[in-house]
Amino acid sequence: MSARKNETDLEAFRWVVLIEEGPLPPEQQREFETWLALTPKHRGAFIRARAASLHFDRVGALAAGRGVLSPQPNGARRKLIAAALSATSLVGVGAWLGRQWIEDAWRGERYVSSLGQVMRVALPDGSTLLLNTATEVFVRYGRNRREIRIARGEALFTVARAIQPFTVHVGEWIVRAVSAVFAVHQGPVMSIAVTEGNVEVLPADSSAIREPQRLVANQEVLVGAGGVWRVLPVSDAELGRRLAWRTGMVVFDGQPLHAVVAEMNRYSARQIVCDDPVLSERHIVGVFGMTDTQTFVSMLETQFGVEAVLEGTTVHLRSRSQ
Amino acid sequence: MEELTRYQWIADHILPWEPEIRRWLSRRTYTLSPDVIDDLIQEAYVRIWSADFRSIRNGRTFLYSVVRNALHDQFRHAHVVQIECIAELDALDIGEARGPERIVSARQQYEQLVDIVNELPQQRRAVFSARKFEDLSIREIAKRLGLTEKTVANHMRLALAQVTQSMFGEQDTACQTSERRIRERTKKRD
Repeated sequence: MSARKNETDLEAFRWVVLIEEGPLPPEQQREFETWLALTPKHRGAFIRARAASLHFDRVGALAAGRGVLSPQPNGARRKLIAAALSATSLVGVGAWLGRQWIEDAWRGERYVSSLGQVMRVALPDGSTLLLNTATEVFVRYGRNRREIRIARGEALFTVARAIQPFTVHVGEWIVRAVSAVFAVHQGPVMSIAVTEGNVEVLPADSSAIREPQRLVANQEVLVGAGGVWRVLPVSDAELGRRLAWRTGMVVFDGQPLHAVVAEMNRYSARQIVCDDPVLSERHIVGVFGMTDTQTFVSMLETQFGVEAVLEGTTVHLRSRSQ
Repeated sequence: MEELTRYQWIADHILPWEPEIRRWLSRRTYTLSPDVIDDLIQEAYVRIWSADFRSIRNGRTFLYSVVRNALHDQFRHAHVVQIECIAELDALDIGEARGPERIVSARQQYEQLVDIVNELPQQRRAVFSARKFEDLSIREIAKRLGLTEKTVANHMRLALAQVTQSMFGEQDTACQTSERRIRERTKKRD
């Protein structure tokens, strides 16, 4: 590293540190604006400093793989989550839809995230839910229970320790946790992956004869059609990659294009289709904004010699003919 | 586009190319002092900020063209005709990129960051890790380390500047660094 100190940079970082702690008091805000306006160099240095600092937040959150969700997210990460959330309102989404439900089996609140949205739900006991794109959950808290049902989609649960058992109902299964961080994805193949603590997975039908399956951190279970069951180890890095949606990103580490396209399609109304079987098997490495189909397609065009043709709301991918 | 998205775009598409463009500037235009290069880079960020990102396909070529324009302007202002320098700039073959965008896995980025953070002085390292990896606030870090918030904020500022410098700033070649280390060691011995 060069010993040459750049005073402007140090000033810029001073402001970045202050701003990331929350809104500046009015007097300081004026001081900041005066500083910014003094010379374009200040503005340039600030833009660079802020971009770099955000980058470190994101890399730290992505790869640390744990502890990303604090009960009260502060500073930068809160803003990151805020950025991932669209302007649509968070609370009371299904206030009255949910009310109809109350009379039925599930007394509770309904939360729905829309396409490309990441929604954070803070529960009264300090537990949190983070809903990935197009996810619907029902939350029912009572004196003796903490129950969540996933109707569709994917959610990350950070369970605070409490006397009442915490259960997540998904399809034919129940996940039971005391204090844990785990993700549940309700798809063609249901998956439950544990980042911290441990959980038990058991059939919802209590008459079924099956020992609860215990999962510890860095393990996941995949349940396919007909209840085919596989428990697999999963590394911190892999968990971090798969849960990158927490920060509004998707990360690929050599997945085949067809899997990558399927993942990108979860987040956007603009669907990508690849009919070329050879192209479909190409391995993709990259980090993208979850709703940023444009950059993703541009990357394919520039790096993989792909031609993208837009037809209606669908992007068709094919190899560029020479 | 939302502000935060802009910063993130810059972090993803421009920052990774900063060391390369700094090297390029100091190599091709040997008459430029490091301070002038800093000025150029800062000006480039201002220009990039006001650009329409959606139309930009390649951050690297975009950065090069912005810096090239800034350099032209700089020369115009200075009334210095550096024909050789400008000719070099125009001859730059940007098309010959090593991959249009450098896309590194999150894992690699993380490892790189951890390596750099490990090189920080102890206090800075503690503050940076708590802030960026654990997502603690300055206040929480101050409490944990038994320091004032002001001190923590100052450590954080220095840590950020140093990490950014290591990752994106002007960089010594490995050779220069080891030379310097040897010099420092020799000095200590004397």
